[in-house]
Amino acid sequence: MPVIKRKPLETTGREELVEQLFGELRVPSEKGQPLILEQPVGETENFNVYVIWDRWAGVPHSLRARIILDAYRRFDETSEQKIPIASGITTSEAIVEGLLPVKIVCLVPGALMDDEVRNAMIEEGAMESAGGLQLRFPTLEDGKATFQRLETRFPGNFGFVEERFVSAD
Amino acid sequence: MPILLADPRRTGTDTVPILERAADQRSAEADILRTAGHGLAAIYLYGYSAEMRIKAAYFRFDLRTQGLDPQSVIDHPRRSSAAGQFAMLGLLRRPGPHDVFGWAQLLVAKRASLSMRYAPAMEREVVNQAKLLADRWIETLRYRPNTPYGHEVRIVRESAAWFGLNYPRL
Repeated sequence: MPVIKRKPLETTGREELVEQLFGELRVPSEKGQPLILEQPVGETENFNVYVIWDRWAGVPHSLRARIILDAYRRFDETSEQKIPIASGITTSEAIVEGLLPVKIVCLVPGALMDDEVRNAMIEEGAMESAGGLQLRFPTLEDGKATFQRLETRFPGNFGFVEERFVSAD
Repeated sequence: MPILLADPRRTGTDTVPILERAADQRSAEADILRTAGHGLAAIYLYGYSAEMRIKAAYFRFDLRTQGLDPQSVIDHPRRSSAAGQFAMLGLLRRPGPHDVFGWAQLLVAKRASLSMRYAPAMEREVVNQAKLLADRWIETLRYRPNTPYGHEVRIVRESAAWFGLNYPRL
């Protein structure tokens, strides 16, 4: 049997992910993933970074954090001093955790069978999941621009739904 | 007649010192269960020991920075108020009652909000260890007949041990 030695992600895919995130920080895309959320911490200069991105699938959480910090460091050498929490999350993980409660849904029965509509949603960052195509956002505000673009192309086809995530104390 | 075990007069209330002692006890009991081959029960108790240490560290810091008695009661309103600060501290969601990952992030962010951050490597490790645990521990495990794999027991034990070992620095 031949011996196949694979390199760990640490040395292969890591650099590619850092580079992609760095590119996104330098020139943010108008739509799609990764979705980078910078959350201010109190009234300090610190901010937590959450990156929702399906490229994280199979990447351990600790490595995701290091990749995010590497990308920020490349973007701004002092950033590590400002980021207490860096967390990478896939869309599925974010949905389970209730981090993406706002979704844009197609209101027209059967419209999702239309490739043009589907592709438009995918271009905007929708991900295929067990529950079908999911185009989700943390807040209504975050989804407004996407909704307006879709509404312009397909008037009356889309609407917002907000799921309430109740946490007991 | 002795006071019954479930009577609050005997169990007392949650305070930092009580959580610290209970965390030590649960951890020692988990070691015994693990050695005896009761993996799920061991994970169950290791998880609680880590949860108590994370919360004790949070409230020890919170009480100190507010100039309050370190033995103050950690009651429901205090826990609820702490969790309710999630948005101000830059977290995406409110930590649930046994949410070790959420409370670990709350601890890190709380310190950062008062410009009393851990060293960056320590911040990463607090969150990382809590995540390793949270992926394998949930309080509802007690209702399940699962048998964990050996590596799952090991990871949870190591994570709980990390919080035990590093508690003085948290």
